[in-house]
Amino acid sequence: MLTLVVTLSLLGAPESDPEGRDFFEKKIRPVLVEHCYKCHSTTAKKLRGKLLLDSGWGWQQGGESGAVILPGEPQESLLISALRYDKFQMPPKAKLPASVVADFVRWIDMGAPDPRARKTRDAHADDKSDLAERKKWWSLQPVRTVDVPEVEQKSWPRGDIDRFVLSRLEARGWRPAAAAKRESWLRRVTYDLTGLPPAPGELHDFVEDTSTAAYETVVDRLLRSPHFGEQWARHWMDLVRYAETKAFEADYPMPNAFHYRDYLIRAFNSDVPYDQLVREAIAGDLIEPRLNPETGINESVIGPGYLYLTDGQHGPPDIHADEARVFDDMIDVVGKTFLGHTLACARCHDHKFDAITTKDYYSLYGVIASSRIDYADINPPRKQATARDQLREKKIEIRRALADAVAKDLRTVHEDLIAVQAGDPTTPEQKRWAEALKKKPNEVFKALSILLEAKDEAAITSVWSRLRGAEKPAKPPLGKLGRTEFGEWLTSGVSFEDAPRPAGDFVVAASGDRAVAAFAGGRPAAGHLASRFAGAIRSPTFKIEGESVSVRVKGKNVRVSLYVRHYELIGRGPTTGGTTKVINSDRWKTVRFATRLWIGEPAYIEVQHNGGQMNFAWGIGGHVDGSWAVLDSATVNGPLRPLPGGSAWGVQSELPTTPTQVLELVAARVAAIPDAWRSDRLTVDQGDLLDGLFTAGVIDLRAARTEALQVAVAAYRKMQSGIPAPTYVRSLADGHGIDEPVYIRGAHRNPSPAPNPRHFLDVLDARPFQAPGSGRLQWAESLLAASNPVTARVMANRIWHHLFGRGIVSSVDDFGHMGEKPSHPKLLDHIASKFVRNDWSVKRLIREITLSSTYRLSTRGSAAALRDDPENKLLQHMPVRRLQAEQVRDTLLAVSGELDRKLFGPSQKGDGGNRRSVYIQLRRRYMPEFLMTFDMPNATETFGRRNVTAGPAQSLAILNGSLSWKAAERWARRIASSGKTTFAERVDLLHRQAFGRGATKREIEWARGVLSDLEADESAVSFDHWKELCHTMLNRKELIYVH
Amino acid sequence: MFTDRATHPMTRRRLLREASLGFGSIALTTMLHEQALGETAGQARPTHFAPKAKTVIFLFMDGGVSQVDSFDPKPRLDKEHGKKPTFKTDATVFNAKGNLMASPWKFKRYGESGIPVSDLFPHVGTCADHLCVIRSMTAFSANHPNAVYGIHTGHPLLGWPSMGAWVSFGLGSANENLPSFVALHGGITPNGGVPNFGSGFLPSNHSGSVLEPGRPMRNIRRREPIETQRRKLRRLSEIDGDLLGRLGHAPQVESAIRNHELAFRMQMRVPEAMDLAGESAATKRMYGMEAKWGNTKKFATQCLLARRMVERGVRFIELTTSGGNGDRWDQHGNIRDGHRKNALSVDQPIAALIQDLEQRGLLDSTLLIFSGEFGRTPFAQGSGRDHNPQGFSLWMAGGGVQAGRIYGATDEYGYRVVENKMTVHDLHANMLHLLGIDHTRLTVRFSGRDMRLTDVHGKVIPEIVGEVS
Repeated sequence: MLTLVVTLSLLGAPESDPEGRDFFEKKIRPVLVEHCYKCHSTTAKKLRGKLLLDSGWGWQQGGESGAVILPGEPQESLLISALRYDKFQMPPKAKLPASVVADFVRWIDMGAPDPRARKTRDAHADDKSDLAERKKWWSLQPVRTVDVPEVEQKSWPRGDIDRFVLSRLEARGWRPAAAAKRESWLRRVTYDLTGLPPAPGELHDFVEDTSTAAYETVVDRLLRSPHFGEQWARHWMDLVRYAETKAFEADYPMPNAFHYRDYLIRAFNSDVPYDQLVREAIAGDLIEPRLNPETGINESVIGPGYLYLTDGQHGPPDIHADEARVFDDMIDVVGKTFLGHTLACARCHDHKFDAITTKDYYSLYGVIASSRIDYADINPPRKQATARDQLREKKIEIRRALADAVAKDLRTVHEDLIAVQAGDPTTPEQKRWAEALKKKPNEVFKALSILLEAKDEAAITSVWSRLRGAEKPAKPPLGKLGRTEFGEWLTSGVSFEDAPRPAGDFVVAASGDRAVAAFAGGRPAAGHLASRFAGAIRSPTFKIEGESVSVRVKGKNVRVSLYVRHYELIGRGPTTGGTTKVINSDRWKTVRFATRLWIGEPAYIEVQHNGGQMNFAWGIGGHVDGSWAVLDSATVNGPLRPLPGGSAWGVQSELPTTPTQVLELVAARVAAIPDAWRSDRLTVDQGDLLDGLFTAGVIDLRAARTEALQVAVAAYRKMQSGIPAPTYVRSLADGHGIDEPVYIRGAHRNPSPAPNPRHFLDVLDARPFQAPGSGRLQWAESLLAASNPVTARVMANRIWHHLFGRGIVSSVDDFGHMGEKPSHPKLLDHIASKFVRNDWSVKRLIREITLSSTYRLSTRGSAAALRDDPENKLLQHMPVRRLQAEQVRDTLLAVSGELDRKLFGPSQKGDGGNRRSVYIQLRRRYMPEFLMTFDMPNATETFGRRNVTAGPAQSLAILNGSLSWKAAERWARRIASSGKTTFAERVDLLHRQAFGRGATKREIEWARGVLSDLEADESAVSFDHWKELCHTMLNRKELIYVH
Repeated sequence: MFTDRATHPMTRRRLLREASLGFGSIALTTMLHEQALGETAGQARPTHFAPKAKTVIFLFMDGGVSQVDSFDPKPRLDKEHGKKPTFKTDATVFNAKGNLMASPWKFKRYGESGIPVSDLFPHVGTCADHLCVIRSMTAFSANHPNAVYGIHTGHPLLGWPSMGAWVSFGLGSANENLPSFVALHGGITPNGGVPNFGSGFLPSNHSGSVLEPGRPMRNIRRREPIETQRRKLRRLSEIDGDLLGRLGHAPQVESAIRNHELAFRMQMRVPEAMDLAGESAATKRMYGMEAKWGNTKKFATQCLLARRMVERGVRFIELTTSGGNGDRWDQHGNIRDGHRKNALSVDQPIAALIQDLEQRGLLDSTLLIFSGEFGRTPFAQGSGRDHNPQGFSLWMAGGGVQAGRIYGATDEYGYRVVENKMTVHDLHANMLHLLGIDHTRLTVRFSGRDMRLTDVHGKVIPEIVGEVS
């Protein structure tokens, strides 16, 4: 946009330039009229690229791609590039003759004189009418309450779903296929709900159950199974491209990603209403926490954990481009997952077909840019609050005992100082003062030594005034960080609490001789109660200027980081390696980040308590006790706020005239400390003084000083060690709201002049967000608003898709123009509205569908349906479906009896052993080959509908792969100990275990045939023969197809 | 059954017949089978126009070959060696920008075309008249993974289909006993990992099969005697046929059943294709299998295997490089040693491959592409060079490409393209064009768009592919 300003200032001159004007009239205007006005004028039927060429004013505004004519710079002007058919091709029909292009070059070279009068057109109005047109698209229409159709075959339907399906079949004159055999249905529903084959016992129970509720009994049992959550969490993981590493060169692990997977499993198992899940996914850190009823942990904060499960490169040369890339990925995932719309298509231009604008895209971009990466502790908040209360109580005792001890140290302060001044310290107290004044280990004692050196009134006045001035900060503190309030700094977690520590507050040393590790008064601090609480404090977003950003902190195991453009891999990469540092220091330390590479980029500072373990390693390292953090101040390319010195001695308020008075004053201030501390009435200045006395060694704060102190500290430490170590999950925290500009044509270097207010979608709700913060909560609420018909439809359709192998809208992630239209629009609205009415219960919808007659259909279609509806859109019969990749592997393990049904926990390396596939570690660069062979998605984008392929590699994987051979061996052993004795009984059991049905006579004969191939007979079947037979069974295609 | 195809042709129809069941309409299932996403890459598909090339060999020079040390001589660097660059430079990964550095190698003109090639490639030099050297190539990024994904998939990020997968998808298979996209692995997986050979959103059967000389393909080795397996598969076809009968109509199950047969044949064909026992001593010598430098032998084996794959109808063959030459071609330091070793490893084998293909009349239908993911800077980074995506050289040969040509140019320093800039999309468009495929029409609907290898870009360039009708 800078160019535009230049352009305007260059105008005027050509006005009075008759030659230029003449040239324009002769060579330029006619061409514009003939070739350009049709699409680029105020009278154009549809304005293209938001570019007007029928007045100078028009092109000076530029179009979607920014400025097109840079007067005097034809080679840089987009118009010339377009005429040359380089970047764009204009006019689109045919390239203009070279001589005409040369004229334009010359014209721009002349300064682009343009005498035409200003003509305007409201491009915004164009957008609106276009959007109104696009809003007519089916998926954006309100969910209708539809009448359930009448059907002829009244006995067939079991519910309304069936009536919708049947009425469509009847319209064709078709009858639904017969009902599937009980065994088939059981196998079907067991896989769909739990991802596992039915066990022979379950088969037996169901087949024997002659009651009318037999089917309900099964469905309810499966819905209660803990494996239900594993199956349905995996579907969700496909949507959020779940993986645990960052791909690219180093494939860095994302610590503790697995908690998100476990969260999903728990959420689906406990049927958390879908609207709540959506709220948690977008804003789980901002809502009233949903606590796990059993464990009390904070579940909802885990919800946003998928957003930053992106890939990530170390050391991107252009950090802004990297942010744009990573955010694009998130926007794509959010758009498809929740809205079934390809929002990311609007990155460079308004969506080509759908009602999505670039403003929508950059609105969500702004929402993400206003949020920060966070590692949140999910440990039970209520228990933690109780523990904190108890610690606070106990800490009062410690404080009082400390104050008593300090009182002893300072009882004779006046005499002590006189003795020191006289150069004759004798008592231990006096020697400590003398030592401190000599070494001047902190600002407080530096100031004191200056004060005591002034020998007359003039000197005193001058010294006091100098010290007064010395504490004035050169510039306001970053983020208005104050001594009693956080200003614009934001915290997450509980350990920083909600304000800087009150004067005199301190960190109880977690171990060792000392009772106090450090004082923290007047500053944001964490760990002052216990290191086992988690938290971070973050600056507001600022713009990097100049060489450096500095932060002054002290503490143990504190991580200080600089997040530039939300670049996540802090500390990694050649140019980004210096963006984080771990501090272990009782004294103030300044962390200085070199920022030369990122001048002008937005950034924020993070100070993370317990930060040392936060690394891009497989687990967040084990908790180490004793972390505490105190933040003093931070600055962008400038001096830090001076540390207080003189004010501790009252230089701001008092002015003595004689050295004696100075000494009295100093002694009085010191002497006042113990009482004020004991009664918790310290001022900020007194707190600084206390800290100064402590770090200078004038007071002795060892725990062993008094018995009361020792007892209190021991009790306190015991309480601390009873608190569970933090359990970190990947989440988000809010920053301040930032409206991002629209990046014109997707180019981050070409931002729109005005920021783009954060809002939901123009087509549904264009009102800008008002509340402070990122706007995620508002975005989530808009997703769930009654005025948004898409969210419910998309999820209801996903459930349908997973149960029938095909959604009512088959393009489950795309409800836009490039997607498919619904096969049963009324049915979709019926289930969507019922879904919402039933409190967004996923399980209730699954229950209703799986108990329908439609879901009970056999896979044998009628000839007419096969001929006229080859894709089986109308569901005359059930489709045959291949197991999904995880189900294939889990089946091999389950059939052989080796499946480890343990739930949850850190991901399993390598092939996952005997655990279910959902627990296998997913490294983007080395995705599990067996699963990939069976079409597991590659975890790079939303994949609501997996590919289903059948290549020879799949045959080879089971024919020759180690998994199936191992399974065959174990299965053979299992059969041997099954209690079945005859060959026929055992073969029958194999069939029940593998296919959920007994063996037919023919199959027993077939098994005998396999034996005879091995030159064995059933009277003496060896283990090896069984193994062979089992392996053959595992290679039967029935194993991996559900019908 | 399940015997060698040549003696006992095993058709799908026969498989079904021998399964001895009367099930649904075969004609109908056949038709559906061909349309299903799950079909195997079993049949060649019609191309958009007459192809010149049938196969692509991608010689991937992992890490980035320095253009000014190989195919793009810059005398100005000799003159200004050791001076600070005066031109504007872009950010790089290490952000280490030293002084200009002359090439340690001399250039010679070769053949009738007189194409200059540096002393790094004396053997390839002798093939100069077959080469179409492109000196105006550019990459998406100065980062390895992005640039590597870029040249492989036309997209700088992980997860998109590899060009080999697109070629397999677009052309279908010419030999269903072998995978149609093969990566002949030299030991170093390209930066960004195996997803570089992935099928992305294309059906997974188009993903590249990684074959390493001396090591069997994954799951290709039988764990039982062939006769045992043959009998097992016969029993399976019998009982799977029953299933098909029960299901009535299940084209995807049919297809899966048929895969048993394909898998069985692949088990024999892949090792046969990988077996060099039948190659003459002279051939092996020509390729460099008796060379002193170990990596030359290794790459010679890969090149010779590539020719065998070409003969057997594999559609896309990628050769990756070996370790031990100084971190791929990625010489941030000690370029003299690293580039020398890398060139020594591939020079003779590549030249032999070109000559061998020519002798066998296969060069005209085989397109070779020699390229890294980007080039290297004309200025130094210590004793090496940093990444340079703004301009670098690649060459193509055979497959109908315009031979003995140079296309495009970089500036006087070899830093930035100044003439006929070429992108990976252009490279892919021209490659597909030579294969008879219009890159704008090879599409798959995914994520709400008709996806292409060339996204919405790509120019077919007559100077490279000849007359474009």
